[in-house]
This record gives sequence, C-alpha cells and structure tokens, in this order.
Amino acid sequence: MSLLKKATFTDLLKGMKITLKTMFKPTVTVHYPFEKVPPRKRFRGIHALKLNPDGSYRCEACYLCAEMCPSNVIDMEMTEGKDGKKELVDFTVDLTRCLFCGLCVEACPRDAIVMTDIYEFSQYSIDKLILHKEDLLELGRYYQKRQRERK
Amino acid sequence: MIEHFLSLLFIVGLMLVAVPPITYLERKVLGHMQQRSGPMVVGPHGVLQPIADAIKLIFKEDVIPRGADKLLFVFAPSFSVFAALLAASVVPIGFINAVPMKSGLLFVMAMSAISIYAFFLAGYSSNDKYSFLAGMRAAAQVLGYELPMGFALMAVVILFGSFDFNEIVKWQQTHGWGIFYQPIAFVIFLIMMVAEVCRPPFDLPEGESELVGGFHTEYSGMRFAAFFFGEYINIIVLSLVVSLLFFGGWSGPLADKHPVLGVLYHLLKAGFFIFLTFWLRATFPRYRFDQMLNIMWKIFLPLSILNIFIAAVEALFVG
Ligand code: SF4
Ligand code: SF4
Repeated sequence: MSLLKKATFTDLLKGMKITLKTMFKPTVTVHYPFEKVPPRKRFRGIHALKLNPDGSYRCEACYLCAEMCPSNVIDMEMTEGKDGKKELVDFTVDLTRCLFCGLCVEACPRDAIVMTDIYEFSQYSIDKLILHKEDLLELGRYYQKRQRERK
Repeated sequence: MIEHFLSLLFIVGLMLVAVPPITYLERKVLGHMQQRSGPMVVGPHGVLQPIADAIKLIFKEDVIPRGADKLLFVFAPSFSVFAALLAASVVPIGFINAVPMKSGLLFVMAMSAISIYAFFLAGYSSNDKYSFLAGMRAAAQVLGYELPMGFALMAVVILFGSFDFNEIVKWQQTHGWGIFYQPIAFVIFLIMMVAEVCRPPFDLPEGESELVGGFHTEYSGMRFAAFFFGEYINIIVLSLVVSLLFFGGWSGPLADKHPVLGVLYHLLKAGFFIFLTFWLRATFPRYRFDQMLNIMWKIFLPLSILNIFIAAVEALFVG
C-alpha cells in the first residue's frame, strides 16, 4: 500500500493540491507603507509628556521615572520657578536606548509621562532620536487628541 | 538562409526577453501560493519590478574576491548563458526552426548538461568554501540526474525512432502524444529536468539556507544576473523540449492550417511546465543530499532502464 502510494506520488500530489488551492485564496498581506495595522489600545510607542487643560505641563520633575528606568533613558534639568515649585528646563528621552517597557509610565505619580501609539520613528541622524522637552510636549498634544478621538 | 537567421534572432530574442517576465511571474506565483501578494510596489501590481531589478543589478559594484581564479570567475556566468542559448537555438518552436539538426535532442541534452559546468567553475574559482561545496554538490548532482535522464530519453528515442524534433512531432501527429506511450519516461524526465536546472526541491547547489548562496555567493551585479539568465533560459528550453517529446509540441487543432497557432500551442504547453517548476518550488522542501542520490540511483535509474524494454516492445507494435 505504501509502495503504491509512493509510486503514484500521492503525498506529493496532495501537497501540490494544497499550494494550488492556496494560490486562489485572497492574500493576507498588509501592504505596509501604504496600509497600516492600527496599533492596539495599550500599544507602547514613543513617549509623550501630558499637558494640563491650561497648556502647562503636568510633570513636576520628581525624577521617579528616571529612577525607575532600567536603561537610563530619561534625564531632566530643572530650576526653581517663581512660585517656588520645580520647573523643567529640559526633559530628554533617549530613544536609542529605550526598550519600551513602560516602567516610567507606571512610576509617574502625576500621570505626566505616557506612551503614544507612534511606532514609526526611524531617523537618519542619531541626535534626532533624543527627544527634548518641546518634542515631548508636542507629542503630548498629539496623544491627548488621539485619546479624545478614541473615546 | 535568411529564414534561419531570422528564426535564430527570434529564438534568442524570445529567450532573453522572456526571462524578466518569468522572474516576475515566479515571484507572483510563489507569493500567492503562500498567501502573500508578491511584488506590488513598482508599477501596477509590481509589473515593472524586473526592470527595477535590472537597474539595480547593473549599477551594483562588481566584486572579484581576492584569491579568486580571475579568468574562470569571469568566464563562469557567461558560460551559463552561452550554453543555455546554444541549447535554445536548436529547439524548434512551431515552424520557427533556427538550426534544423538531425540530432537536435542529443544536442540540447549535451548543452544543458554542460551548463552545469558553469556552477562548478563558479564554485571552484571563487575561493570561498560555500561556493566550493556548492560546486561539488553540482558535480555530484550531475552524476545523479544525468543517467536516469539519458535512459528515459533513450526510451523515447527508441519509440520515435529519431533524434530530430521535427520527426518526433510528426510521429506524434500520426500516433498520438508521447505521454500516452511513455508515462514513466515523462515522469522521470520531468523530475530530472527539475534537477538539471537546479530548482527546488533539487536546488542543492544553491541551497540558500545551507550554503549562503551556493555557487553564486561571491558574485554580484551583472555576473550574478547572468547565472539566473542561464538558469531561466534552461528552464524555458527544457519546458519546450518536454512539450515537444510528450505533448506533441506544436500539434493541435487547426495547427496545420495556421502555423502561428502551432507556435502558440507550443509556447502554452511549455508555459505550463514553467509554471510547474514554480509550483514545485512553492510546495516542496529541499531534498537532503543523500536522499537525492538515493532517489536518483536506487529508484529512477533502474526504472528508466526497465522503461527502455517497455519502449522497445511498444516500438515493435506501434512503430
Ligand atoms: S519605557 Fe522603559 S526603558 Fe523606556 S524610558 Fe520608560 S522605563 Fe526607560
Ligand atoms: S515621574 Fe512623572 S512627574 Fe516625575 S519626573 Fe517623571 S514624568 Fe515628571
């Protein structure tokens, strides 16, 4: 029986039948740069700093996120503001090292640092991967707009 | 004379022009068989992809590795195209017959057999262990497929009583297609043909997953492309030959009155076998080396010898 099977190439022909059938099935390809898979709701893309409704940033420079980060991504500079509160001079996120674990977001007591759903951030120059305060606030605006859209 | 020259021009032109679309179709077919869509970006549905590839290959840096045998290294790819085109020149397509030859079949077999020299010249000359291994594999593969293929053809030739393609087709026009007389020879020839052009599942000399790129590991640019030209032309030629030997070549309804129709029939039949090589490639994994030799020597070689007797008996009754 098995000899007959071999002699008539039964198994091989079965395989060929499957490939032929598959050829006429619709493809499952997502044509990436033209079509995109929408990221999931809790997708962890690049960071953003959230803003208050009045346009000021929520971060109060407590350093918890920087402490928590396993790869030493976050750094910030601050001064004392007019009202005696800490004020950010700069807030840098070095995406070249970040592993998108989200621990910084977990750590933040003020819900100031968040992660957007942006995953396309390749750059030709490495300095562009170091995000500064202004970039992060811009991303924050994007994030909040996106959140509102999703609701 | 002029007629032969034009035919030759047509056949060589056809071979060279057909290769890029065939590479495109191959990628499309392979893609769809794996539920992908293949090339899509360059031109509508990616039809201009071969042109983009050609431009890329032309502008690639041409590297000759240190320690390579320069003469052979440069010679090997052109040898591949040259042998394939020589084989193509004697195959008649319908009424287009560039070099009418009494022993056309023998010549085609000889030419496509020496085209594998390109592989081991490349493997030998590139001074690279992967290429070298691939060259050795190619050499061993020749020993594997050449004998069963030769014997399968011997059976066919005994039946048809001629090496001349025109005679062979004439025989089939009166007696019916060769496949009905010689199914075993057809199967063996088909499998050996796949082995001959080093296509999966017998792509051992190329074995990307084992040998980097096989014999063409060190090649780049147009030399690299030349190998593939040779390979695809060989596929076309052998597909034409299969349809000549077993499927009546250009015979078909109304083909006597309209020779152009005959050309079309022949090309369509060959097209099916070209498609078959893609199909096999999408379906089967590569054979291991010992498996390949086992199949060739322990199964197909005795079978093809046995088949000669069958052919002889048939020739007695039919011929
Ligand atoms: S996501 Fe992880 S690695 Fe990136 S900054 Fe936050 S804590 Fe650091
Ligand atoms: S943990 Fe939150 S509030 Fe504290 S520095 Fe980081 S982002 Fe600012």
